[in-house]
Amino acid sequence: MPPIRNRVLLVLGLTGSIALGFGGFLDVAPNRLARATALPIWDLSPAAGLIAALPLLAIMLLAFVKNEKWRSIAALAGAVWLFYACLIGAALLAQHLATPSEPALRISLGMAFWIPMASGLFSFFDSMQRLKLNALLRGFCFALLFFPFALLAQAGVFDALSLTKEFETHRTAFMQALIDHIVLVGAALSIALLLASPIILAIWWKTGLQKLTYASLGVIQAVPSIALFGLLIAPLSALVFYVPALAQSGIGGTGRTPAIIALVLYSLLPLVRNGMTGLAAVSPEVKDAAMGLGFTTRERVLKIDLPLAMPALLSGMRVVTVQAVGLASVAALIGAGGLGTFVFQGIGQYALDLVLVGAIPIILLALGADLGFQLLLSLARTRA
Amino acid sequence: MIEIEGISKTFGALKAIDDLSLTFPESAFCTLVGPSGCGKSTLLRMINAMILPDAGRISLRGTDISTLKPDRLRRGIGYVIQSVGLFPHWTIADNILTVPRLLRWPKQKCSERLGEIVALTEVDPAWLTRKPHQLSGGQQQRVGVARALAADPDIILMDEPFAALDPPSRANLQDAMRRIHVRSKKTIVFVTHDIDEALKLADVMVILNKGRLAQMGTPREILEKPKSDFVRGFAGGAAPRLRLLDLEHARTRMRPEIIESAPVIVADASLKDALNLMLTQQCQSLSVHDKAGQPIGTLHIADLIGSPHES
Repeated sequence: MPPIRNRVLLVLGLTGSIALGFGGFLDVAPNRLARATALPIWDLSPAAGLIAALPLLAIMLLAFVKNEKWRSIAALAGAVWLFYACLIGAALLAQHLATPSEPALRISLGMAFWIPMASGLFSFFDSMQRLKLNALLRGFCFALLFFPFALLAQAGVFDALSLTKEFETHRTAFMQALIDHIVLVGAALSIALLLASPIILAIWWKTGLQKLTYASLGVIQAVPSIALFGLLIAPLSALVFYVPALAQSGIGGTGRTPAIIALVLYSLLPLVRNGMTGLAAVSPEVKDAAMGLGFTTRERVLKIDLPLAMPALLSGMRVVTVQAVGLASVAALIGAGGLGTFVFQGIGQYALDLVLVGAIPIILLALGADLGFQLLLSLARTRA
Repeated sequence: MIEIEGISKTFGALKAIDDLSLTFPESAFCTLVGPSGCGKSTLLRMINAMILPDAGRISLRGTDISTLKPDRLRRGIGYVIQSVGLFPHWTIADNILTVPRLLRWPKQKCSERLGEIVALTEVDPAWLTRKPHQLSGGQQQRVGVARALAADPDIILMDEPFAALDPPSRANLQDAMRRIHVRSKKTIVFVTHDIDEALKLADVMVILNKGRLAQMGTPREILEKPKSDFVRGFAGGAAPRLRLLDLEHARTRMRPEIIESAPVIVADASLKDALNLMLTQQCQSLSVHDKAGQPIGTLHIADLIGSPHES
């Protein structure tokens, strides 16, 4: 047996194949509440099964190819093929199954769809990593991957799937939730940045404060998110009770206010820590030289310290943003809105497709934020 | 001209500078030497107000520096440190133009000055678009010197600038520094703990000990007439006469007679080089040639041994 060059591809191809071979590709139920039957792709259309199995096989075999560059490019192509084979296959087969006589029929995506799909996406990530693509090219690859999907969705190709139906029924609520989610994260991050800067400066001047600050922020980090949201309800309710004017401006024990406060609290530690790391990375020699050449403190901070600390600050922002996108979904529990609403509604109604209507955009938002910051980081690094 | 009057500085229990007064003459290459902890770096950093004295007065060109804003003062003084401290996120050209840009010179003037300074400090123009990490230590320090000279200050402070370099780069930069001084006539205060470097570069040597002035004078005076056992031990060590040979050129001691078939030495070489050549060639006479390669005299081993007044 030839040596294995890329274990990741082998594992991904193998799991994908097993799932495709034995799992249900589409889960069909007569209505939203009834139990679904899992239909393997082989029962639906052996041809479609073959089209989806081929790239999985190719990805597995690519694990043995020696030349890393060609292996990665081929895996990238295989991943795209797999991605669209699953998507289009599911859409067409669902269209085939749907009958006008049974409008309540639910066709959801099964294990044999999601796992090969995930295999495809992970191979895609892995290959981009190995090709050492810069953030700009990565963004371009993502756009290339998702653009045809957007076009197909626009054309109504996926309409027969219950996921699309759930999305269609919640379309207006979805847009509102998406905006709420972004606003929640954006507001929390801006406030966190505004608070973190003076904290960083304070413990930069007075090193003695460092331990205390890290310890107290660390304690907050250790509190589980649901507990922190819950903990904020009582004091905020009390505050509104004694200062009714606050209620008029939308502040309350539940809703956005405690959610934003909690997100800010969670964001402070990574921001402060990364800020300090960045500032500490400016070597004392560089500072001495700057002072000796006649920089004022202001000039030094703006022209030397900040640009040199920027990569660390941005990676702090990246961590915090991805974290906040995830945490904000939990905030739906205390009535803050956002995409988490669908997740919890879906769990409550035992409607998995509704959960996905919330979960998929949350994942995409996190990925998008991550990619955006990677882009900024690579820009800051080339300048630094 | 830099005047130091009655300066003292204490760090905790340590008296770094103790009632020190001296004057660095204008346009002189002054080396500031002494054992570690003698206060030489402290004194240097007080000249550009990086450290403030507890007592006393420092004036540059007749102005008390405590009356000036520190950043203004420093923009008028070149500053070179051992660790170089180039700004890692800027290109070499940007690094060199640091002070002119702080002074808001117009673009045109900056680019003209960049050309001049590159020529003066023998910076390779190919480096200008690179980042500091792409240069070797010696190259970086050459840029450090260029950066210090960029805004054409009349005073340059150098704090052990070549101490961290390998011997060839160090010798290279020392020679460059001498040439730069001859061409630019700046007042240079150069801190070093390396006595050979101090002797080689100095017009005027200042030796400090425990925060006080041990002796000030030309390298020759220091070696020939040390004022104390400390100076004798520190400057001359075991071989003061040998060190003196390094300060003099073959030209000054040669006899006008011309001999054939002797090893050749150029007139500008030091007497130490001459002695070295005699030892390696196992001969007692050298033929001294001028730059054009014409023989102009003879140097005999006896010429090295006597003092110049006797010959």
